Amino acid sequence: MAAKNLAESLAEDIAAIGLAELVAPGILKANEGDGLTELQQEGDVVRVFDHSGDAIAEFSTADEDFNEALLRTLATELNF
Amino acid sequence: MATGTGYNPYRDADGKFSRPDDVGQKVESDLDAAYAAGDFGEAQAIESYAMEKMPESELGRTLLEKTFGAATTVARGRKMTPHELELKKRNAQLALKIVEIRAEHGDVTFDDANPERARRRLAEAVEYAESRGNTNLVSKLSSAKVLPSGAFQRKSDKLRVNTDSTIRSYVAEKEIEEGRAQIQASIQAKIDSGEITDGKYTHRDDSGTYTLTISQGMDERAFEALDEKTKNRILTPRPTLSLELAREKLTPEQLKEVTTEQQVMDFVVGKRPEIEGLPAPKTEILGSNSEEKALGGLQNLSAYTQAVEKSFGSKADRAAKKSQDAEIIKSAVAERGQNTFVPGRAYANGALLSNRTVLVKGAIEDQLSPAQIRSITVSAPSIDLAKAKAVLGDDRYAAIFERRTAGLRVTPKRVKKA
Repeated sequence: MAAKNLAESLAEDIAAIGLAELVAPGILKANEGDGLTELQQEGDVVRVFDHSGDAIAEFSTADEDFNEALLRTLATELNF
Repeated sequence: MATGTGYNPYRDADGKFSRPDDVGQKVESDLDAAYAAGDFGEAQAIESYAMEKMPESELGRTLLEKTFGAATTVARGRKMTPHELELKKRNAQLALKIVEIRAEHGDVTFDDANPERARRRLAEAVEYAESRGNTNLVSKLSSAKVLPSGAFQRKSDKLRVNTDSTIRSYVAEKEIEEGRAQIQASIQAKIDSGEITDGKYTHRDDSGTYTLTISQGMDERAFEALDEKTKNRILTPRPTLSLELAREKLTPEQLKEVTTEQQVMDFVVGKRPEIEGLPAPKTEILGSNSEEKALGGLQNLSAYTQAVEKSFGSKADRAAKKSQDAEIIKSAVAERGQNTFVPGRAYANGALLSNRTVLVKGAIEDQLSPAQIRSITVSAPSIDLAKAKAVLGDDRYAAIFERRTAGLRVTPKRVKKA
């Protein structure tokens, strides 16, 4: 099982589309403002940390709505 | 087919840029042609391209599985299971179309619609922004359309949103963050004075894990405090892509290919709602050595986090509600494609939604010729660290660009799914 590759790769894809800026592996900066949002992976769980460093949500890759729920959270945190 | 060491399906046999109708098909036919011609070097270059740039395509996936095995495949050098690769692919597809998807779910029924009152709120919001000297906000609000009410229900899933309650949550969160910032500042003061030394400190209790890490980074405030002359001496112009030039130089079709849409939400809070139940943060840090002081700061953070949770619910619950409200509001205005004001009931309050177009660097590199890329590139000033060191000297450089900064991380025992 990959340890962190999915989370880092998802962050890269969000940045590649121009929705945020990638500042470090798994760490995204909002296009407006200084807020950083981090994606971390532990086994099959992807966790989102907000700009304060607080874990605000976690998603299992086994969940059917993994993508929708993750994107909803990222869209709010990164304001896109 | 490309010449030279690299392969690029956007280059024709003469090396000129051209956009194929179907890139995947072009890669496959180039690969077939390379094998037919016995050009195995070229075939290898094409296969590498397919695995790296098109890992989700049938060809890319087949090659990846053939090369690295079916259970674990790779994308951009990273190992992933086929299921993870599928999630990655779906995520990219959804993210690209996020505004369109919202628009499909944007049909709402308004509660208590009052277009006259809504227009009044917008006019008040413009006046309020003017009184604050916020010209950017004035400009956006002045061109905004207004919804007849800020309370509505999304038809597709019956979810409701009330902009007033969303604004209340937004203000509450800001005030909670201010309390937390005071705790962070108290820890930072101990780091600045050398009482907390470099390292990683962790406090665990029933509520979760609290971690303090100290890293070196730029002190933005100290940089901003430099006089303009000094700042200009340490900035260097660097090439950056310009959306304005892209709009001017590219055809509408090309522009669509290399841009994506975003919806940005800002709140206008002319009348700040009263927030009750905010705990007072403890900023006194006790302890006789670095570790005790670091852990004391983290215990203050834990106590504050738990007190906030009692009054306002867990951070995860608050974040989930914030996301849900934002998605409903964004979906209600998604198809409008312009600045839209969603009014609150109190004076000047409301949410402002603006659409923003951003350039997609990867698409630009893939789909535009070097000459086209040059035509949409401008120079923008950015910090040159080597210059900064020379201009500021070692001590001032270290104080601004290598400041030891507190990074706090909170992982609750259970993080609820958003």
